[in-house]
Amino acid sequence: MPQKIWWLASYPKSGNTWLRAVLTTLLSRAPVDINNMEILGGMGSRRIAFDDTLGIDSAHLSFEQETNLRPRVYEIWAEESERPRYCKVHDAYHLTPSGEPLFPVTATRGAVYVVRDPRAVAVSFAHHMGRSIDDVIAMMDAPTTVFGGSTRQLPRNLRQRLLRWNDHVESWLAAPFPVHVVRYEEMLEDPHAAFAGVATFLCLPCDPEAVAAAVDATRFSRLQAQEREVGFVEKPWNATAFFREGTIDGWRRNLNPDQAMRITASHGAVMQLLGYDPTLAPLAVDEQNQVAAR
Amino acid sequence: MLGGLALKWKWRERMRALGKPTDQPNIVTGPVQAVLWHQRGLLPLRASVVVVDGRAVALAGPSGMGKSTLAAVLAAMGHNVIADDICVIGAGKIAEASVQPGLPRLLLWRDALDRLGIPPEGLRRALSSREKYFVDSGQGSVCELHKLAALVVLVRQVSCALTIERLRGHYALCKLHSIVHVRRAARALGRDPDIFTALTSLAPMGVTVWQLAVPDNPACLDEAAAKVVAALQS
Repeated sequence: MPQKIWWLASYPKSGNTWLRAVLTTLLSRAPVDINNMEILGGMGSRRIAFDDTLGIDSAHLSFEQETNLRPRVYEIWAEESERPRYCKVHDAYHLTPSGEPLFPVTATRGAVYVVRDPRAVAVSFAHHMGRSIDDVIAMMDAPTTVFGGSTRQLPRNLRQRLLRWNDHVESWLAAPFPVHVVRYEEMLEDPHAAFAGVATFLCLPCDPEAVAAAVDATRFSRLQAQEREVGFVEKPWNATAFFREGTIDGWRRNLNPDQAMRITASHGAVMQLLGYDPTLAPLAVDEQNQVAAR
Repeated sequence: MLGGLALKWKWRERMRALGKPTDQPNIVTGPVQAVLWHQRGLLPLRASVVVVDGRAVALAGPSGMGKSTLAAVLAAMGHNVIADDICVIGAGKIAEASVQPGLPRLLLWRDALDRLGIPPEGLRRALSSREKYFVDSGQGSVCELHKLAALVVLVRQVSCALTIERLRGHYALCKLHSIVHVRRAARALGRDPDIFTALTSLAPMGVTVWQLAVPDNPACLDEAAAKVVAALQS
């Protein structure tokens, strides 16, 4: 029987990979290999999967053509999959150039949307991209921001439109199918409750023992250790690490007041909607020293 | 080859009549050509082919894995490129695996040109919206068949170490199956048994299969080319 797709959606560097590690462990009941989480269903923008599904070479397509064809790929996946498929996506929920939803309702079962404080996203994204924090703050505020949009090489993933950070969030909250929102901060503070909620929504095993085992197997330190030992396929070659810090308020040590203010000025309304306090300020230098001394 | 060109010419005529751009014919010709090869009982693989010391080696893998760039590095070392992107081999019902001649040019991205020190000025772009260029491999038209000596499947390396290893048996077969062009269409044509026969016939014909795990770091291409040459000589 055909199985529709569950989307695991987020803005980049918001906790999607950790979520997938937990779900992989819940499904397989085995220690997760961070370089092989294909049991879930792969990434929605993966170029190889697109080419293989359609039998054409996306290297020969324009960005517009490849985006227009993506809904067809997802329809084929939904039609052919014999088990539930959970696909990671970073795209905003938007229309293709030809005017249809990128993620077709007919191919979709629902979505989990992982959201993280944009101030923490900015710091993590800057490390990931090898760009300055100021650059990334500007990217997060630009409606034209894309991932995989290089014209000088063939990126591993198809081009993904991110829109502005707040538009990314709102696009998924307004998607015309069930969307379960989970905050990265909840995943850190009470992982058992957060992941049990996600598992229940996705109709996955959610008994406390299974969730506790999955949470324990995917502790941040374990993922970091695995990356150090064997590497991680999603880490850009020039980034130092993918699993870097993973904290809630690390941004308070890494942003200056002006940077934090620019983010809240652009995205404050949506931040408040999600429970992020826009008035929270970066730590002063002496406060940072006290934290470091502890 | 002529059938493929005729397809392209007719497609261009139709597009011009409709007032539409004609700069992206590969979407039409690439997959269609691959289907035609399947229908003719040949095996199209996603690979570029370089002749190293008189032996044809197919550098195989999906788009973006660096097949053409690695072929260009080997060409710069003095080895002849005889096909790019699609490698059509005859195998299964004949005595040796032979590579059909392809077009003597490489399709290279701008970053690859920069790494190779090839200026883009004067090169024809393959796409108007992306910086991908046709680069003449400088060998003129290739007419004769070449005996296939080795297949090197390029995969992404998650760590920093570049490695090459010989694949055998079931593992080699799985890797080879993943690089068959238009696999879904071939399956719809009922080609699966013939593909299986062709792939399993490669080892008895003396074709060795290798996996080259390449890190993302573009600086390692020279080392990758040296590893391929060393593997062929081993």
